[in-house]
Amino acid sequence: MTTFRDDVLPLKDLLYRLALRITLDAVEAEDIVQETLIRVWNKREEFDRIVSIEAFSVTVCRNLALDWIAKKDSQSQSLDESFNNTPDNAYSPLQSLSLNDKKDWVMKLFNQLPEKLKSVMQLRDIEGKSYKEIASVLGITEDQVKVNLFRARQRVRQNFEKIDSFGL
Amino acid sequence: MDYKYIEQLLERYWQCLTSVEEEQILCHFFSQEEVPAHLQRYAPLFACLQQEKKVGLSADFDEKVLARVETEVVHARRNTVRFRLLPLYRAAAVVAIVLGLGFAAQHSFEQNSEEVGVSYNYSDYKDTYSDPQVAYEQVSSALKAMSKGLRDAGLKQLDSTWVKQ
Amino acid sequence: MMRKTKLTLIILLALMTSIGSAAKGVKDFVSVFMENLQQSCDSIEVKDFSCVTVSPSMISQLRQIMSAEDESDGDVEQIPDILTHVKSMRIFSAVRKPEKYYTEAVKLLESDKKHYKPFAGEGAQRKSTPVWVRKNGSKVVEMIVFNRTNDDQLHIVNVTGDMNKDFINLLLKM
Repeated sequence: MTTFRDDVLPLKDLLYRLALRITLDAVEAEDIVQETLIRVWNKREEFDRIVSIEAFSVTVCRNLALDWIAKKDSQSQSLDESFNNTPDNAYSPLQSLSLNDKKDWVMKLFNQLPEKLKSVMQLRDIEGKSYKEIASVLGITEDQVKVNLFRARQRVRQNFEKIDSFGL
Repeated sequence: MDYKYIEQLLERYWQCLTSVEEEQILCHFFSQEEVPAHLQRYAPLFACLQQEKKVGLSADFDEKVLARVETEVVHARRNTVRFRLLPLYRAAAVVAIVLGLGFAAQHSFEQNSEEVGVSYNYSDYKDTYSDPQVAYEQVSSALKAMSKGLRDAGLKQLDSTWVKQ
Repeated sequence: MMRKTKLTLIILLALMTSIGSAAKGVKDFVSVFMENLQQSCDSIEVKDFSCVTVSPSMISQLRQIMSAEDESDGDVEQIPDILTHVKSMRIFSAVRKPEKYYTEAVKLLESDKKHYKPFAGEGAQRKSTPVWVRKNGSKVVEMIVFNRTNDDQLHIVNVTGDMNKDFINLLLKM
């Protein structure tokens, strides 16, 4: 028998990480996770028809996060300073930064990727999901997942190279 | 130590040819203390990814969400209490049925071949989007599509005679 | 005493249902169509097709919000007025195999000639019209419009309410 505690609640951290990656707002991400878990739980009658409760939950979570983004964009143009400027230290040599600063820099870079690219990279590089699982969550083909992942990783790599070249 | 394997993995990582297990190997490798100088360039990436895997919600989140889920269970229980009052409702039901029957009978005798009161089960309608802004966008494009459809169907501005169609 | 009440109840209910069956709640076309495709309008799963539901309460919310706002855009001015005729809306979208779903939808409409009738202007082809209606007496209570987008998606817009000439004229002006 499926229970909320054992089958739905454990997804919370994965969902939180994704929601946070998309919304870049910890408070909102937490609300979205709550909303997602409850909506998924309310659909428990259909669980035997759903192939993967996890994939279903991630889809719901992502859609809620995207709805929030769409709403936010239509309301105001000002974006959160700390997440949407070009990374700090963009023009100082990467080598001279501490590891923590470098990690922050990578995170800002990651956060700035277009939503689809960063969601794919989030689900693959952080959550370790297969291309098939990611495809079903995003409603795209596995090939498209690979293309998006490729683009995401290439952008990251190019940024590293750009920064390193400044160091000279 | 031979780092050729790691270098190959890294190259395949950029080409998206690595498996989940191989990607984990890269993450573990770069989170070590001693990463050789020639491989240090991308260490922050994997260190960041490794760090991000640990992000999670606080313990009080569980309490909050369980509280919400449990209130729904309480509502279900309240309904069963109401159910026990059924005998009392029976008498009221008989009266309601008799009245309703009389009304329906009267109504159906007055009707000709027209359908009796087409009414929709609006209580079954669950909004796909709870955010009015998003719902509005859907509605607005749907209405535009309807407008086009009506024009494609050859409809022009109507006057009062159209009712006869 | 209890047995008598039970018996009376059963008889009354039986009579009631036979007369009252015509007054039963009706389902709009898209929900019937979705049932045929073995899906419910509430499912969020990603598939070839999807369904968006806008409930009566959301429609009235939108009317209030839109009337309150002051817009100079021509389209937007009409929408609150158009919505006064709309009770609910459902939008069926097929992102893959649009032809298949179009054919099945039209087949379903044609199989229920008692309720659904094609609707077209004078002189236009009724056979391939994209507009279908359901009437209650002389009133149009439901309208179904087929739409194909440039990127080959099929949309079926299904509204219920009072689709009278004002509604149609306002829509034609959009």
